[in-house]
Amino acid sequence: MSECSIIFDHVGKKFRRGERATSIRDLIVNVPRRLTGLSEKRRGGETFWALTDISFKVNKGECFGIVGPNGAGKSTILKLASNILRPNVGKISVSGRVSTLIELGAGFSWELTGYENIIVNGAILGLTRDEVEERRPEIVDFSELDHEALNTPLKYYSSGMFLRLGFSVAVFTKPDILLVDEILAVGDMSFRLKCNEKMSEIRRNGVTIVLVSHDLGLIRHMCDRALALNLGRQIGPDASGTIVDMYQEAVRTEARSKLEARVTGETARVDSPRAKITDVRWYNPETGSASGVRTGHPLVIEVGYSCPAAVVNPSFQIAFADQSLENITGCITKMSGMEIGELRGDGCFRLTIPSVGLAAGCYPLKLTLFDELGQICANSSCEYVLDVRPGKFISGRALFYQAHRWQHLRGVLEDMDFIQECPR
Amino acid sequence: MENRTETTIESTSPNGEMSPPMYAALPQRAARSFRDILQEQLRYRELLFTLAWRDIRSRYKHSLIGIGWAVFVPVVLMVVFGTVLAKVAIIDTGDIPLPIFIYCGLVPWQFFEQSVIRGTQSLVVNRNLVTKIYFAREVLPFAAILTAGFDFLIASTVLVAMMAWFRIPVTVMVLLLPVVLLIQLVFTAGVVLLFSMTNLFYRDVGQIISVMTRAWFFITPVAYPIRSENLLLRTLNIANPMSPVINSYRDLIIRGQLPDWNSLYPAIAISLVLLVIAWALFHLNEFRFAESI
Repeated sequence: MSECSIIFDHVGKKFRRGERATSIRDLIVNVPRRLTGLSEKRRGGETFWALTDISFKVNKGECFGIVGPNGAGKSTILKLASNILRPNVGKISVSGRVSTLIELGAGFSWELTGYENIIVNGAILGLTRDEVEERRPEIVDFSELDHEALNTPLKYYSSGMFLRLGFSVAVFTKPDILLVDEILAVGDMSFRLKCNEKMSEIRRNGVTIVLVSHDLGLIRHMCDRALALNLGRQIGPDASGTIVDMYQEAVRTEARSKLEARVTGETARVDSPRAKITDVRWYNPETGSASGVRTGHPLVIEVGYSCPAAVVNPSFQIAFADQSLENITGCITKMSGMEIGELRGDGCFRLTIPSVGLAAGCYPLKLTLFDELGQICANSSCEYVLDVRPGKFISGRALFYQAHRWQHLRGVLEDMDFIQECPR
Repeated sequence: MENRTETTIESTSPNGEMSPPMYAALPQRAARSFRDILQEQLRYRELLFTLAWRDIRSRYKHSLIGIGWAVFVPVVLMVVFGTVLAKVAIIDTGDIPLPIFIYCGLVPWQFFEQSVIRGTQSLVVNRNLVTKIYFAREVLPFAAILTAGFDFLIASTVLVAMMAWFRIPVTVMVLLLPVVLLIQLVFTAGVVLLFSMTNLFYRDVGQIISVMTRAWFFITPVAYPIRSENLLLRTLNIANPMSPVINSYRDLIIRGQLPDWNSLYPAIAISLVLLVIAWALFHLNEFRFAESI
């Protein structure tokens, strides 16, 4: 048992829903109700279980992921583990010094300088003043803020600088257990990479990490095991890859059903009198089946349209979205140098992708037909969801597949000629 | 660094059922031993000082007269009370000059009042800390007391200057000041713990205290001595620990005599009982702070 850092044993947590008495007037109004015993029933209606029967163990030195949709209770688990909240049922035991990265820059004062706030934030995260002083060079170095910036009151900071400083203090607290809530998406790209690297380093140093994130790639990459939450109930824990796959599958099914519901309401679709997307199909040209769409394999998407009135000089876009319906990548006719003089009557756009770069998963498609002025003539947003199945091997942690070819040559590199063309 | 802690949080029904019970589970009174609570306070003392330091620094940093505000407010109040009160009523301060009589009451009173006002809001103002990070919650109201205590020290320097000006000798009685200050601190801590907690659940408290501290000021001998035969006033004088505390400051500092112990005993008793009750209530409700704030 000493191997376990965190144990949740049949934990349940109840929250109040709706308005509660926060003024004495309400309290007084509620007194007769309480006295008559009516309140018990009412109270029952006003609360809900944010977590029900959660049991898991996090081993020492392990990186444990928690995934789930918004409101599933992920942060509640972290707050329970850090003793901010207490469970209504069940038992929680935590051994070791806990540091929570639930909010960056907690306790920062706008009037104080960066240096001063390092001390404040460090103290809040449980460091003594000496420890802060000792780690200050590292913190400053990591934050990439210069001396001048750190001598400036925080109120003049950009939000990026603020978060960078907050993260830098937080990662140097050196706890036994680190609870992280969706904060790695901080700052610009290079800083984000640095943060991820730092997290890996912390992990290698044997710190137990519990990571809550919507970034499934990160969970897959960082965590040994993971737990999925849905409406306060747990799925798993299991190997992070398995959980992420399962979760993605669940999300896909749910997105599917949601999308289907939406399609019946015709809300994800814009048709103008000029044009309309009639049909969409996709397949792997090698197998001819939609189920054969796999990472690293070819893909053909065909979109049928019908134009009662002419659309001059249009352009057509197929965009691929992720689970949060944000575009990941897209293909636009105009940008590919394709000129379409005029659309009239029925027709079809065919997009051929020689090698699918998307990792296995489920990608809602956003299809849009623009006219000459860039106005949307017809649009189908997330009505169709492309399933990409695992295909060519991408190292388990990759987010996308690079089309590539390997060669091995003997000799001195300097003597070799450049290759003239890239083989397909 | 090496403060490994083993915390086990146990609730009313340890063997949780699959489906949550239909009845409302009793709040888990995870009562901790007094020793645990004290140890936790010690562990977070650095945080206490740092938070007080943060509040003091950020308050005075970007103001023109900075620390001067700590002196400015009681001095202005002294001038106002000194001139206005002397015109409308006869204030019998014995052989003590009126300005120093008033100032000597105002400085500890301001300390108390500011502690209560800031302390009451301390949990609510630091909402993001309470909901996001675990630490001993008392740190916030206590830091508010420390912050007000800083102003108290600064304002006291003027008192020293005034004593030199009015040629009032300092006696050995000054050595008893820590005792009176301790009584005031105990009482303040009790009030602040109670109000900060109730304000978290019922925001009305924040409104009430601004009226209450004003009324409290008038029933406390801050700007004038209260020597009334009125039963109500006399009762209030006994029930209000701030009255004997303020009187004692004057006895020790200006009059150079022993305080009236008979009036201080009830104050000590009330303060201690209040602190114990307030602290206990604070701990019993602490676990609801993050979800109710």
